[in-house]
Amino acid sequence: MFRFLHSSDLHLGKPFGGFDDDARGRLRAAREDVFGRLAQAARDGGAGVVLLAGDTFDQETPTPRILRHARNAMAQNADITWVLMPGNHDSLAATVLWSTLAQDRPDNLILATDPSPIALGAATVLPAPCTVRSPGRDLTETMDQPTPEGQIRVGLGHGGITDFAALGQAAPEGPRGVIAPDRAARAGLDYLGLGDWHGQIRIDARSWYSGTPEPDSFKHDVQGQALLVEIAAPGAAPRVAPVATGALHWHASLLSLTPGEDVPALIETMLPPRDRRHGTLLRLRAEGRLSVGERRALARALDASSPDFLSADVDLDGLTTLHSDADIEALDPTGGALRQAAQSLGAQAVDPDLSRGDREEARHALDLLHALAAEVAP
Amino acid sequence: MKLRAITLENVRKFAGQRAELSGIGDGINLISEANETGKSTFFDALHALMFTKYNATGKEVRSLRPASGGAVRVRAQIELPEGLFTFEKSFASQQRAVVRGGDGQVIAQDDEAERWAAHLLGTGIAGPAGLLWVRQGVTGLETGVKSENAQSHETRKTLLSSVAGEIDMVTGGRRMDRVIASAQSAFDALATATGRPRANGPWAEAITEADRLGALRDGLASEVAGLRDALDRRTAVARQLADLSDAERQDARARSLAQAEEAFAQAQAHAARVEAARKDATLAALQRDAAQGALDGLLERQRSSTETAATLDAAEGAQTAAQAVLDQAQGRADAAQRHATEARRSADALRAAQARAGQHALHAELRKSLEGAQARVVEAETQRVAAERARAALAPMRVTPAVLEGIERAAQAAQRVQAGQAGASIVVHYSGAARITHDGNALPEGRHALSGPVRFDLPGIGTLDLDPGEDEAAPDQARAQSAFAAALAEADMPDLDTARAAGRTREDAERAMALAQGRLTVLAPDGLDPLRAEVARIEDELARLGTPQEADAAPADPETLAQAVRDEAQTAADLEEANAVLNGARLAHERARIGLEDATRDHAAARAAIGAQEEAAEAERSASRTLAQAQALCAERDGALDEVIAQAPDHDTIAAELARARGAVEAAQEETARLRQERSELDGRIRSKADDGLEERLEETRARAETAEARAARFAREAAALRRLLDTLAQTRGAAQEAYFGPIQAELAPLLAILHEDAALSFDPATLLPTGMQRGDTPEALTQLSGGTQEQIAVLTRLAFARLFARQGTPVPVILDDALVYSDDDRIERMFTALHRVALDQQVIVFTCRQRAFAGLGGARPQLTVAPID
Repeated sequence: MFRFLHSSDLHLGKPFGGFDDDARGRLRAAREDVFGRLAQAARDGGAGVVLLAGDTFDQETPTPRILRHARNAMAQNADITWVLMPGNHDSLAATVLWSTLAQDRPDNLILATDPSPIALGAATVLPAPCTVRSPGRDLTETMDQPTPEGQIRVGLGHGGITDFAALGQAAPEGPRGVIAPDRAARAGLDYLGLGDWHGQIRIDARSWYSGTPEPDSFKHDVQGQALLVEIAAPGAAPRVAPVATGALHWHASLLSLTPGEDVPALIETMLPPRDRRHGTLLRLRAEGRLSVGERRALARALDASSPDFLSADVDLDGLTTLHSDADIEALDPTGGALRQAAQSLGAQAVDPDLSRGDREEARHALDLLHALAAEVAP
Repeated sequence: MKLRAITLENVRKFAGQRAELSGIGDGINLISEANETGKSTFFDALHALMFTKYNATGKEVRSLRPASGGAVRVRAQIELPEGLFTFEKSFASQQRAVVRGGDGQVIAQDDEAERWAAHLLGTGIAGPAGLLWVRQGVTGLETGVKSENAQSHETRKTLLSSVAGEIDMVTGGRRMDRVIASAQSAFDALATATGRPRANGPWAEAITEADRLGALRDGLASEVAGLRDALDRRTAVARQLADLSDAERQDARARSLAQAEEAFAQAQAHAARVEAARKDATLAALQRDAAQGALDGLLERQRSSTETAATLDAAEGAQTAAQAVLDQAQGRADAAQRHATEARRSADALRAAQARAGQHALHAELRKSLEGAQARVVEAETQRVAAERARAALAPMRVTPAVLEGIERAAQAAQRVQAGQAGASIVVHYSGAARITHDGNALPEGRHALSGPVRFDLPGIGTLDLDPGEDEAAPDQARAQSAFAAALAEADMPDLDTARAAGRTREDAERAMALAQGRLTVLAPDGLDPLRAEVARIEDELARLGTPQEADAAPADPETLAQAVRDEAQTAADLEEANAVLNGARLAHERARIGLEDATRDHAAARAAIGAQEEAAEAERSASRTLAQAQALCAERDGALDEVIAQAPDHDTIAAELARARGAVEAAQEETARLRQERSELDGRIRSKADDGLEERLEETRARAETAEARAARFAREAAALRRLLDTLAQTRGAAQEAYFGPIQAELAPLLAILHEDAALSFDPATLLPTGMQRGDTPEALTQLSGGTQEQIAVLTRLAFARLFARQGTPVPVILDDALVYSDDDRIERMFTALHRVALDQQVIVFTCRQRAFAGLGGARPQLTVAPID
């Protein structure tokens, strides 16, 4: 029996330059602390091995601090055997990276920098390290090599499979890769652990992408996870269980709005619970249509909620404001120039003779007019 | 809305009193009272009732309180379509507001009462009714501080400003102003007036930040590209090093080198063997050649002896033949010598005779030349003497042509003066019978010369004395005569004729001297001395020739002399040819002699070399045997050499193979060293970049740049939207102003026409204030109009607004408090007409102290009653 934790795509050293200093600091800290959470997840699952299927580091030349911190984190979890395999971000072309790790390697760290089989008790790991950033060939072909009789065969690869599209909605934007999706069957593997795709995906019963243990974008909208894998014997079906490992949450929402919505209630429903918001990065996109008042209510609700989050990126550009006669009358009950200005901008916003940019600019100007008029008491 | 009565209690001068203005009717109402009767108190109290909150404590309220204090109460009876209402406010110590219905029932109190009034007045306490109030005009009595003109200006300004303010309110302009101000402020914070990012504004800063980060990103991207290249190169170097370090390949290179070195050693050994065989063959060939040389030498000496003997015989024969030729040539040369000597002697004799004849002829020629030269010397001397004599004769002759010309000019001048004096005369013509007489004689017509003073008688007239002026002409004549005399004296001549004779004599002498001088020049152009020297030279030449003999006068016969010369040349040529032949014979003879000596010597040597006959034969046989042995040895050695050469390997190929094997090993070593060095350098470079966190910085900067660019783009969109909003607001406000000014001006036009025909007001679209008036074709700025006209325009503008409100169904009273203080009688009458025109559907209440001026206004006359408060 062989039990291990399958993970990948830690992307240590990712800078997160698009965030403010506070969020960036917490994002980096959460990423660097992931070793401890992976080790604990392995212990909790009764596993003594963590297989990292590539992209442990975000760059081919991580700073000495990042390298040292990773090395120390693995060494401190001495009861765990760590197997690190180069991915496309930290391929073998990153010679300094791998030579530095090799020079100061703790005993519980195995560097899978060539396709040689790695014996780990009852199992033999067959790694397919990325030689360069874009190898352009299926490196997992080396997994066909024989292993001692009676050994559980575990493949470790990195990159996209050739027909991600076949996975459907599980990976709607999956990469176009070169790895044969039936590699496990072809090479007689009991399990094929893959990296590169940050979401967690089951290709078949023996082939999985573990996903990243600490998400780094809104792309997958899932909490960081790893896979706890148990293989009873050669040929036995693996038992694969996702385990949570993420510290921060990336929450992306698309609000499709229509007039008449109870906007504050809807916002409260769409957003994560308040107790999770402190560790959540929010990206909210709104589309559809709202009245002036509803849009104002939406903006107020979002303004009130945004400080709850570690980071809040709200984009209402896709939302169309409906300027009803009542709205325009409320803007200027006297029917004076303000109302006429609003009507003029409203007409510009739907004028087919204007360019799309001009129409959007007019719509924006109309929203501004409502906002400014609201600030000025009638 | 119409006011029917106004009641004041305890207001200003009405302290403790109730003052009531009652009987206010529709249309015009005139309250015309003297000063200090309380008209402005009514005006201000009514204004406070309408527009000042009951609980206000401000200046307006305080101004209403009498000096004795106490509550101030103002009440108005107001008629509305719904009925009659009473609106009352108490200020100061009792603060309340009450609205009662016609039955006295309280309808609203305090704030509710205020709202009732606000609703009544249309749009609140600051509503359009405020527009229709015209406070007291310029009297100079309100403050007693400002000058009359300043008061007038301030009053009109307040009036016109309130007009503008009400228009704004009606058009919603005040709110729009605030919106525009907010939008403009937001726009100004972002952009300049031309829409460019404002310096130090958030948009400009966002662009600057985006540019900065973009530049940083590009720089980092370039560095990362370099880093990636280094990593790729590092991978390639590692791969090459691995290939070079491959054990099998290293062994193959070593084996290849060892084999090449072994083959080369064997080739070197075989080459040594070839060299030894070549030396043996060479040595044998040398021995063969030596034997052959010895035999050839022996045979050569035998052949040489035979040849020298023949050569000796031939030399002896040649020497004999040469001697015979020499003897013959000597005889011919001797004969030629004799013939040449004889011919030369004959020619010389003939040439001597010819020379002597030539000298004889030359002597005769020289004699002739001597005679000519001597004759020219004599003639030249004669001419020289003649010239000297002529020159000596000329010296005393003073009448030169120039002197004579001066004398002639003086004489002519004297003659001209004398002739002029002789020309004075008179000319007489008669036209009647009377005649001039002189000394009793009638003077005939014509010219009459006057030689001196003369007197004529003129019958019936008297006498006429004429004087030709002789005394005045005398000095000129004297000067001319004096000059003439001086010229003669200068030439030492007594008179003109003598001078002329002396001049001619001098001319003759000059011609004689010129003739002698010319001849002398022809005879001796270079003077007499060269001529005399030529005579001496000829004489010397004749002396040198001596005296010739007459026998030498005949020259030699030319033909004889020519033949002698030809013979001389021919015999000389023959002699030269004979001598040449002789010299050739002598040379041939000498050569033959030398050849004989050489042949004799060579033959003796050859004979000495071969020695005796028997020894020579034996030597030849011995040399032949030695040669045969040497040739056999040589053939044997050559065969051995060919054999060893045929067995030799390809040395060059083996050497090239060795060089290639060595080169491969050395190149691998050098390439390995070079690649290790490059790898070390690449590692250093990569590690340096890694230490610097280059890729991380790039990713971070890239994200930050995108954020900054997005921010700048948002600001750009915001600025564009604000610009569009501001433009739209400006357009719609302009349109709104036009829309509202149209009706106002329509109402104003007939009112204005009452005062000024064909007049129209212009308004400032920004301030909405009247800015000028155009009468006919003459535009006039408002400030250029008289104070009265400005005042009238202000009132008419208000009346126009009042008409507008009335047409909109919200008529409100127009209340004027001494508003026309500057209008003259004519204009005020017209203003009354305007007021009546408005009053057709509008209540107008006029307060004035100008009782006589407003007597013609007409309309109702409300009653003012004052009584103590109960």
